[in-house]
Amino acid sequence: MYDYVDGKVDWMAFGLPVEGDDGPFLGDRVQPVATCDVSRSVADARRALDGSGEDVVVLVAEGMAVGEVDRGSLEGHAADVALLEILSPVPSTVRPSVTVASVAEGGGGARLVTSSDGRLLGRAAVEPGDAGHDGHDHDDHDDHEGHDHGGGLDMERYEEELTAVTKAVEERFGGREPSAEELRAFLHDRLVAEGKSAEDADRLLEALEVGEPD
Amino acid sequence: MFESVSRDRVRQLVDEGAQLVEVLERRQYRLAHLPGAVHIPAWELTRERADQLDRERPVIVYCFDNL
Repeated sequence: MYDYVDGKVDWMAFGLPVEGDDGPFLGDRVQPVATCDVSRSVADARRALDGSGEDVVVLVAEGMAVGEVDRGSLEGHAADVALLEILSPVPSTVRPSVTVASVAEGGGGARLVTSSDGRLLGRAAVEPGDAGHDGHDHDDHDDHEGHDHGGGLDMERYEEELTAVTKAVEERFGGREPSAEELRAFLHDRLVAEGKSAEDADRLLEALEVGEPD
Repeated sequence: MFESVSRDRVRQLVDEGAQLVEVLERRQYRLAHLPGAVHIPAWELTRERADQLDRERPVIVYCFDNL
C-alpha cells in the first residue's frame, strides 16, 4: 500500500490530467511561450522571439519565470546588453488547477501558468465569455451550501474546513476511529452548533455521504 | 504499512499497473480525480470495500493534500 501524501492538490498544481465534472483547467490550455535564460543578452532574447513569432519573451532561471521583456524593449537596446538590466518583473502567475471558467468570470486574458514550485509551464489564454466547458458536463444536483460553484475547486477553503473538522473529530474521539454513525452524529451536532438547522445539517451530511454507502 | 510516495513515484507505479483510490467525499471525487482512480471515502475503508480492489496490484491512496 502506498500513500500519495501530497494528494490531489499537488497533482493538479503540476498540471497533470484529471477526470471529473469540474474543469477544464488552465493546465488544459497551456501553450508554450518564448523563453530565454535571464543570464543571457538582448541578442539571445531576440533569437528566442524570432523563433516563436511572439511579442514577449519570458526570462527564466532554472525553469522559474523571473521576468519578461517585450519586442519593443529589445529593439531599444544593443545586442550585448544583459537581460538582467532591462527585464520587467514577471506578471503574477496562476496554477494549472485554476478553472477556465473562473478566469473568464474575471474578464479573461492570457496568464502565465506555473506549477506550485514556480516552474514555468506556459501561457493559457481565456476569452471573457469562455464558459470553459469544453464538453464537460457539470452536474449541480448534489451541490452543497456555500460552495463557489463555477469558480472551480475552492481548495483553500476546503483545506481549512477539512483541517478544522479533522482536529475536532480527533479531539472528540481521542484518536479512536469513530463508527459511521458516531461520526455522523458528531458532525450533525457540530453543524447545528454553527447555526445550521437540523434539516440543513442532514442534507449536507447526506451530500457528503457521511455514514452512508457510496 | 503505508509507504509515502511522491508524485513522480505515483506516475511510475500507475504506469506499472497500480490502482489509485481517492478517499475524499464523493462530491470532491466527482469534480476532479486522478485518472482511473476509484472512490472509497476514508470513513468507508473497510475490509469489504477493500475487497473490491485487485489484491494482485499495488494500491495508492490519496487525499486532498498533506495536512
